[in-house]
Amino acid sequence: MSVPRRTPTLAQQVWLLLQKDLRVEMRTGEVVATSLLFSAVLVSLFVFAGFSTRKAASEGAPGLLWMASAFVAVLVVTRTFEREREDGAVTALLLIPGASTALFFAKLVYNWLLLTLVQGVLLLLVGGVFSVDWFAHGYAVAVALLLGGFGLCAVGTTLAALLAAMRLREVIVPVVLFPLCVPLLIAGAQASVAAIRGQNSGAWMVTILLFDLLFVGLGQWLFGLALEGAGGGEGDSE
Amino acid sequence: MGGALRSVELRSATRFFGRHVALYRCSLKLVAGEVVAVLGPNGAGKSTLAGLLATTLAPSEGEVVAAADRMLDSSELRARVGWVSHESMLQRELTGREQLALIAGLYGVASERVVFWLERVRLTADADRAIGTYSRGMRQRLALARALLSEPELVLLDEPTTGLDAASREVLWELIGDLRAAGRIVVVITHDLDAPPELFSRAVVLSQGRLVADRSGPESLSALYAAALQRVAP
Amino acid sequence: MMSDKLSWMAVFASLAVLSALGVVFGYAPVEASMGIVQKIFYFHVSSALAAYTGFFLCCGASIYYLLKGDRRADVVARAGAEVGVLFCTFVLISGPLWARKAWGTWWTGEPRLMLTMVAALIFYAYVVVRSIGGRTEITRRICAALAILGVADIPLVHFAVQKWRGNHPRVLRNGGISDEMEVALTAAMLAVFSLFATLVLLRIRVGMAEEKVERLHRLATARGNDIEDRRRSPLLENP
Repeated sequence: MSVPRRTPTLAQQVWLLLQKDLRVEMRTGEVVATSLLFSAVLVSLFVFAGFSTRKAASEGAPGLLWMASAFVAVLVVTRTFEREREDGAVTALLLIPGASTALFFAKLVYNWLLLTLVQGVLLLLVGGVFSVDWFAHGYAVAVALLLGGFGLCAVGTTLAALLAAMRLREVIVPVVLFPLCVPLLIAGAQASVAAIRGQNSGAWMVTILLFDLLFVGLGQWLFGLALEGAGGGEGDSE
Repeated sequence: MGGALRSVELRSATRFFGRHVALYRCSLKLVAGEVVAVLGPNGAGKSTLAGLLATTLAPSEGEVVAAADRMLDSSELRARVGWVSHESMLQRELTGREQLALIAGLYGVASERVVFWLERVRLTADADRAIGTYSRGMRQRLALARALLSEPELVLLDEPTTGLDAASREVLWELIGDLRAAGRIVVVITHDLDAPPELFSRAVVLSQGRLVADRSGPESLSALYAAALQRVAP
Repeated sequence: MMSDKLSWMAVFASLAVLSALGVVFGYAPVEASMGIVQKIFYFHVSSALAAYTGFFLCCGASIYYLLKGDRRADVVARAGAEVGVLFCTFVLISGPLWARKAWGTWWTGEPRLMLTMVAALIFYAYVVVRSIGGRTEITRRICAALAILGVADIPLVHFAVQKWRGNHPRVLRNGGISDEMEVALTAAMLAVFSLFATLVLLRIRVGMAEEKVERLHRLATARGNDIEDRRRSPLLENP
């Protein structure tokens, strides 16, 4: 009565989980709609706070762009596991061989896609309000946003999993995420400043890449370890 | 993969949560083909027992040992577990078919099995509705299909009759009978003392985190339960 | 026996702090441009080192805890983080005091000060998560992961901040300090580190006692309870 199985590869598992999340999001549109609305509100706040009248737009605008990205990232990642946790669906997933690693990468890519979408809108909004031409000297700003968004999501997805059951999660996630992402925010903002001035932003890009690699590696390791526990679990020390 | 699962054994397994002791020095060996009823009042440690067997909980002391042709480690055991808990473990936004297809794909089970299981739990007609719109009993049946889809060798059913009508219960007893015939290990945590006694080959009773009775044979569950509880009553 | 050793350590630490104060104020010369405020320097630098020692201790113990599940390592990690945060707070107070006198402003973009602030924020969060999460296995695991992420982040923050602010003129070079100042710095280091070690060991002792209380409580009431549905993974835990 045994049914033949072909063990799926990690990529196949990631694709299945990603597809599932995208399908659900397309059906409800909740996360995309609220995130887009949030970024519009945020940019209007920048306007009312008086930032748009500043002359040094090339200094201020990239900073605000990255700050807005970080805020949106929090909004996106905090909801990462909400739906799966509601009826314990995640338990069923964690029983499946290899699925916890696949879950990390699927959620990472899913969050990254959503964030990239919102970042695109942010780029237009902030660019319009500050009259900055992001692409006057090439597409370095877009590349920095893509790479930086990936790093934000890598840290964010890890934290979302770790803190999924924590009380006051909505506050704790940003409180931990923002300090961890300081190097990313510095490098991202500086890369963008350099890019719109037509300067070389290569070194900052490398910093962003290093950040991405470090936190994807650590995130994947800690995700698995923290979710499933070490080997025999926790012994009681004498 | 190390052959068919032969036995799963708790060896003096204890599980603490902080200061609380959920399960205390529990030893229990389950062998292939056994259908075991686990009885006991709320808070007796039944769900902890299921968590330990499913390996989503690690014992604080003692060990969980699984054997096929060789000893299995906890991730190998986990891959052979099918679990219906008090949560449905389903995602409401998906349809029944999508949910099963997802699980099947992640396990690498052929997609024809999805059709088979939908039919088996009588959900074919409702397979393309969102799970959020299902009744309690339909969800429970889908949860059963989800758990059994991967052909698990250790089946843990935590209150499986919750929300099931009489006809669905018949389906459940039938499924358990099939699993027994196929030589699987089935653990049924139940309050339902009217379950057909001939279905179970063995019954154990937990009380306050301890294993207080362990009987094999066709004794009725309610008689066993009454006797066991009398013994531990203060 | 252990308590005796710790008492002697505490006595030693107190004496070391008192004599360091004596050396700093009585022996080391008053610096020409900064005046008496320059005395902050001795304790500022040694406290910063102590804080980072605490954070690295926390990270190391956390890795061990995650790999081996040994709860003693968790107690050590917690002690390192808490005492590290204490010294880090001192650094964040003495830093602006220094900056006010040296540069006329409370806060500057001085790279090391910014690095310390980020490290402090990360470990403040660690302490907050500890207290919100309570004494559960999942909290222990979450905090271990946070400590590892935080310490792994420190070199990156350092690099980014240096590169960002590195081209600004370094207002103060510590290179040319006199021999007397060097003696005073050594005394302050000794004092701060003996204080640090005493506090860490005390915190570890308290932590071990808490573990023991939990164990005894468990033995006394080895029976069922109402929270049996806790799962192994934070994803599975009910809020």
